Amino acid sequence: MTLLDVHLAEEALAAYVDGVLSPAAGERADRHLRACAECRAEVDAQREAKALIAAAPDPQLPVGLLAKLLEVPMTADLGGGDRVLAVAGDAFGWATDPAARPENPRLVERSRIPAPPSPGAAPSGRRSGSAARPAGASGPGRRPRPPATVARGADRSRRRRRGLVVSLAGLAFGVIASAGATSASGAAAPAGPGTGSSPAQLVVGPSVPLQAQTFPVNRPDGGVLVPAVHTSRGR
Amino acid sequence: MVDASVATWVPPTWDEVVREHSTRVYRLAYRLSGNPQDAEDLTQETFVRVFRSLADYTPGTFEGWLHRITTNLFLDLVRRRQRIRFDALPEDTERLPGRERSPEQVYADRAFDPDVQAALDGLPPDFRAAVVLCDIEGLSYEEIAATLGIKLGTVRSRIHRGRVLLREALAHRAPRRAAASGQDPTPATGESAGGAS
Repeated sequence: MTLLDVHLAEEALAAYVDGVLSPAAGERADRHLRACAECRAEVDAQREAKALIAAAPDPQLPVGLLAKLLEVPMTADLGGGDRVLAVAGDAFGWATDPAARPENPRLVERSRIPAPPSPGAAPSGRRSGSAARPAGASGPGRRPRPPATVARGADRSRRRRRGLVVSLAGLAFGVIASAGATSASGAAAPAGPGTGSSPAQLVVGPSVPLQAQTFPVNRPDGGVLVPAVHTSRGR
Repeated sequence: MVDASVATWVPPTWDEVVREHSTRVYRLAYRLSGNPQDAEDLTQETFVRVFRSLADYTPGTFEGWLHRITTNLFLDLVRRRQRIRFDALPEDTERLPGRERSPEQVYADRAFDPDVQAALDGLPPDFRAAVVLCDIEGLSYEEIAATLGIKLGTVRSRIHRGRVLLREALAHRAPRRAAASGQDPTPATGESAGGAS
């Protein structure tokens, strides 16, 4: 049986093109390719496909998405959990964000990306402090609340007000959270008791627990600064 | 890289996290989902998840983490849609009134090679994910295996088959080589066969 009798396996073809075959396997592939035009054509096709996709220009970040991402801390973890935060969440009026994305009518389930963990997402223990966050907090803008019907023209003032409410909520949360942190009970948020098994605790507000990480949040619109967000590493 | 540096490691601000990674996450989301709406949703959801589990972040794994979240959110979305096709479409009472795309966005979508995206969209999602992670995001096979939760051999064959399909879909973009023609495996030159849509 000669080398020509056995063509390169498809796994080998991809790996050859990407240069990740072992030296020995790469040498065998080289020898075979020198003699086998069929496999050479396969290799070429792999290379061409790779080059074509790699050469395509990158899609650009849509206008407004950056701002929404910057605001994630205010929507993702202050969306609910206790009364104060719930009020703040209601005040968000996320769906009226002027930078809101275009609606795609095909996405009938667009609002249903679930909050529960998926592969690669947060295991349960990490959401202490917001464990009872309503499903609406699974994504900004996904569950428009009543204020969503407000016209866009009102957005600016709404956003300012929102920022203020967030600040107040953050302060309130911080006070609660610091009490929880100092007592080491971890029961920071009324609805999200971080027990000893909880690996981490999100603390929002002026309290600075030991081993704190700070994630200051700047308002992208240059508005109200929200209190820094600290996550304490509990492990 | 050891404990000392971890102790002195200054965590990035959220602002820095977003600015540094949002373009890449969006690109991946776009390449996977094939349209700006889904890409935006996936990007946003990815960052929401990131924010919720920041405490688990350890320096050096951010990109891999983001890739994993984005890709798995995409695959979840695909599976959910496949399921939903068999049901009556639920009324999306929360849908907002239509919002127009900004001129900038329309332009960006056009500038972004629609041919390539259409070819990617034609791939089975699992193949698409492997190819995109490899050829656009530049992940190693090992990283792709970890991201998708599949074996290395599966990664290799998915990439191979995905590229074969892509090459067929984009045949007009590169000169087709006659199989077994005996030519040297030099890169395709010129665009004599291309040009047409």
